[in-house]
Amino acid sequence: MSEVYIGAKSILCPLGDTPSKVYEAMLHGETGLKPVDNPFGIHTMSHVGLIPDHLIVQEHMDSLKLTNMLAACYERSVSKLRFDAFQDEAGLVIICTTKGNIDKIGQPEDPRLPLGRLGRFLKQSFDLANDPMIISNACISGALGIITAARLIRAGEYDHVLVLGGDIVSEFTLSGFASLHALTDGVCKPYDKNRAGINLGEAAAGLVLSNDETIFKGSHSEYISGASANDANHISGPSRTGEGLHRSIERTLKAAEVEATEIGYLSAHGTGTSFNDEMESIAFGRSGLSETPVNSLKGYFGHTLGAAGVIETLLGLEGMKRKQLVASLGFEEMGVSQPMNIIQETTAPRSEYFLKTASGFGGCNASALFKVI
Amino acid sequence: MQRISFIQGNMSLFLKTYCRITDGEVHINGELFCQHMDEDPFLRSVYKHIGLTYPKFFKMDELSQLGFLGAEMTLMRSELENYADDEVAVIYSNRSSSLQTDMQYYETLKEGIASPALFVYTLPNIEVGEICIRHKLYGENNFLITERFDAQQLLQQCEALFADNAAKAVLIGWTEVENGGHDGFFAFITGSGTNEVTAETLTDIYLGR
Repeated sequence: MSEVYIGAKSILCPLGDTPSKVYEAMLHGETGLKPVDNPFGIHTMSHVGLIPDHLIVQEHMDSLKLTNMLAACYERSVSKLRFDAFQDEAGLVIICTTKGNIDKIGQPEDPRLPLGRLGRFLKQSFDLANDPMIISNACISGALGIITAARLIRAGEYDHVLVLGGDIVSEFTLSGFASLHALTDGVCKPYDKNRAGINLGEAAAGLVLSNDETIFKGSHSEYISGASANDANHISGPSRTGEGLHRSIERTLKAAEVEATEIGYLSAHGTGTSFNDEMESIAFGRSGLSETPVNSLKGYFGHTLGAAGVIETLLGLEGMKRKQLVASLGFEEMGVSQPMNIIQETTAPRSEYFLKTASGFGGCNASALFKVI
Repeated sequence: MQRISFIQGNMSLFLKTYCRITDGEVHINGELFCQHMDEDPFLRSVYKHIGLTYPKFFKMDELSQLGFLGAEMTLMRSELENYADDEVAVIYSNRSSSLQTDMQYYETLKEGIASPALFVYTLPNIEVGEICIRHKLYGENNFLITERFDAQQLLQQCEALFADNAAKAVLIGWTEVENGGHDGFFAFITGSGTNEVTAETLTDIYLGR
């Protein structure tokens, strides 16, 4: 398999607008999840991860929040490359989002509401050679974007792919998760005995994958392999046997010819719901990852939906480079049935292999393996 | 501007089965399969015509019903038994994501009682989940948003999956529902076979040319 490199990180989330600022805040145990009084008129005690207004650049021609967030990440990722690879036909931009500009719902005539619009805006603003690809596959959208990018590069379709993940907190999504009784009061506690649900957060993040490691001005890592798998079980509840997640991990490791025991760090999905976290513990156990240092980053900025796979991979790569893996915020007492080695204070990875996993509605699961030196 | 793929020269893709669902008619492999004749809504009438008993169908939103029926008719003619349960990928696409159900959910919210049953369907890949449950498919999934049916992008995905040994066959789909109208196209794409397919020929089939 030909080599695929990953770097040129960009981020915009409740904790800040550069990877190092966000990582420093996480190392200090800060959370971007804050109490908001009746957000969008929704009665909830659940804290929410909102991006401070001053961090969102308003200079772009589209006045919508998400498109501004994606545009900002596009610019920052490209500024970390030796040239803008996406104005050439060998470069592709992939946008990963669950709901796009869903804050425009209720104004059905707004032409910017359909998801396909996001691509057109970026193409025009940045003079992109190809139409952006848009992936909307629930909460694995971001992870699937990274895997898809690597496959397209390996198949010789493109040389460079920028994966942008983004979702906002809106009345639509917050009310929906409230209707499912999936929101926790206060701040989420992934894998903890007293976990009671998720927090929603908003974020955009970007990573460039390329077959040319000299394109990166700064540091980069290696993408090794990845796979998605469906549970074939339920559309909104995770599999009780962790089937899809287990299969996606197995396929990822098999393709890499890497053993589970060689993984140095596992960045899990860890939403903080009873069923998700339990399902993960079972899948990780079946996959031989019970001893692997693992955390969930949801306690730092919430569940960022389509952005989650990108932002959490990005911060995982950052932690691997620094050799400082952050504690799984909110975890105190073991609350899942299978053993997990949950990181409780800043720790060094056990090896150079980093595994990222994600799971979502529709029974979808994804995992991706990276090598960070 | 589309890049000419490196591997299109090396890798051939083959079309096993295809199914077209448009307003009032279903065609399978180019031949008329059924027409909307009775008083039921169109998709319900197709469901009856197939003779399937699958109560979950009635819980699905219209987008999932369309995608489910297309998968049913395509996979039944694709010798699915020749593949392991994780060798068939499902890659669907459309223009509007789940917008029709988004609007229905949003109405319930504005009326004061947000419907969790509708909210669950406000993700387009839920229809892929429904298909995987029905046919016990544990393989790769993806859902792509394109402004129109994009054979090039879908076949590119098939090539990338085959090249990565991530699938041996792919059910690709285009499902659009809007104001009671349906535009569905489904095809079973394999890495070996007899009926070679290109983006041009697939687009022609979709357009009925």
